Amino acid sequence: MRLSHSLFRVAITVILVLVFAEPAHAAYLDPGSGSFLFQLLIASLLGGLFLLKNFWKRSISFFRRSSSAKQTTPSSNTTESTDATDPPP
Amino acid sequence: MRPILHPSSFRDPSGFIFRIHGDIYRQINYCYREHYECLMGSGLYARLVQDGLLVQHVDIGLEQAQTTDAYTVIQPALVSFISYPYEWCFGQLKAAALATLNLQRNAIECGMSLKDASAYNMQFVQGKPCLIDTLSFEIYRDGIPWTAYRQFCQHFLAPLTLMAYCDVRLGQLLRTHLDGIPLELAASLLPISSRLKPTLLLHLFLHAAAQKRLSVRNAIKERKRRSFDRRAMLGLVDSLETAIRGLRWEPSRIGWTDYVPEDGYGEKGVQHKKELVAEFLKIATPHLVWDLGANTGEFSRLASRCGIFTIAFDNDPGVVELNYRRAMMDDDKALLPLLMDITNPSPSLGWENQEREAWLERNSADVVLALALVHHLAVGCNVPLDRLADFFARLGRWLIVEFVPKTDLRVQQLLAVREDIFVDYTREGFECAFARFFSIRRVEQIVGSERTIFLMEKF
Repeated sequence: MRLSHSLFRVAITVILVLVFAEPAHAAYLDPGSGSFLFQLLIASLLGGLFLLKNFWKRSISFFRRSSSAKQTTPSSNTTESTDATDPPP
Repeated sequence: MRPILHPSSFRDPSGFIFRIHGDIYRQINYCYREHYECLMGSGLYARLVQDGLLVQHVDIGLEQAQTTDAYTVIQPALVSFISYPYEWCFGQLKAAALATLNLQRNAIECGMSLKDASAYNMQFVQGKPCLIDTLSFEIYRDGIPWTAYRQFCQHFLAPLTLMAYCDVRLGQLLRTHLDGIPLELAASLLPISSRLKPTLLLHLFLHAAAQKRLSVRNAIKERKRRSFDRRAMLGLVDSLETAIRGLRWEPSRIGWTDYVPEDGYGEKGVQHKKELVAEFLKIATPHLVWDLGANTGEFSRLASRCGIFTIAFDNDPGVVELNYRRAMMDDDKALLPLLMDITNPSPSLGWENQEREAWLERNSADVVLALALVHHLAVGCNVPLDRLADFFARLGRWLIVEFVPKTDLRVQQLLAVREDIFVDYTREGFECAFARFFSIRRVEQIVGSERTIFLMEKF
């Protein structure tokens, strides 16, 4: 919940900055500095999405491993506990 | 012999390329020492070379150093043929983009970062994109955004998106915009539907708007308030990869993609033609073959499958794409399909017209294949036969060329709606024009047709 709130805040900031920022004079405009600043503005968004994506991948991988372990050795408790403690790849 | 400084190697103070006796060397200046030691010591170099992502080099010390500020000199492995992004098909540009992001991800893991993401730093080696600029890495500084972000978007994301969403021929904008397609230009050309993809909305449209509206003053102010941590950097690479992977283009059946050579002379004729070309290649024993007007590379493969490095040129982006995909599928490392209009080849471009070499200035072939091509150039493009012969003589020592007479269906199609002004376009006229530059070694008629194949050797 906190993460999605933070992502929403970043998105609003990006839009507000892009809409209301004073347009730079074309002759003195270096697109590199715009790109540099743009990355700073979207840093939290990128980091947050990356975190979410990794969390999602790890969860999927964890559940897949658990279910495949159950299918191969349904009566073995040892495999299940090992899987549960192993960090997903 | 005096070293020749490479005309495109002047922007980066970390070092430069020079050539002695045809060998390429790269001087590394003292100012880059720390970064070079990190590249070699962190394991990044070994990892990238093993994965085929970075060109291998040998450190030869200061023996060939050109200036006093040299730290060391390296000798990188030679690349068989330097090609440029405007000569790549969609799939090749996409592969180069993904390889660049892979390089950046590997670099971050080893405490480094790519300081530039120029498409010109990537070359196709053994069929795969490979970084040739060893000095592209710098030590990663936490909190600083990716300095090559703008360049990556201009060199890769913008052209690929234009090719995927508008027209594949817009990749040729890279020829006029050597530092990549300006993002605001790409944004103005792209359809509204492309804005619906979140990654494109972010890295292309909002990025373009930021370049337009955010000044240096804003950047200095924000730099003090915000930072760009390692997670954000990995997130940026991941997000760009999602954007690039999501771009797709399928060749339509317009142009040469549905061309069937059997239409001209039947299946037996094609087989006979293949046998003749293979036989002629054995006589010429080449190391480098150029197949001009190669279509999907049916005849180029006769050379590449024997391990002969073969470049298959065609001016149709669809057939170059199909050729590239097939080469990838077959793991044909000796075949390099490239986009090239023979009637308007890549010119010399950039600073002093020397940064990017013209097609004819790069290197010449041992054997040039010109199969079912002469009638297009002579009848379709009005190039006189003697000028064609002169042109082929500049390209390589051996020439395997097919002459298609006026009685052939294909030539009749070319002449169907135009006046026949080509009085010299006969087999005799052809032989006479080419005999001024070449000795004709073999002449064979293709079974089931009036077409003739010649093996010629330059005087």
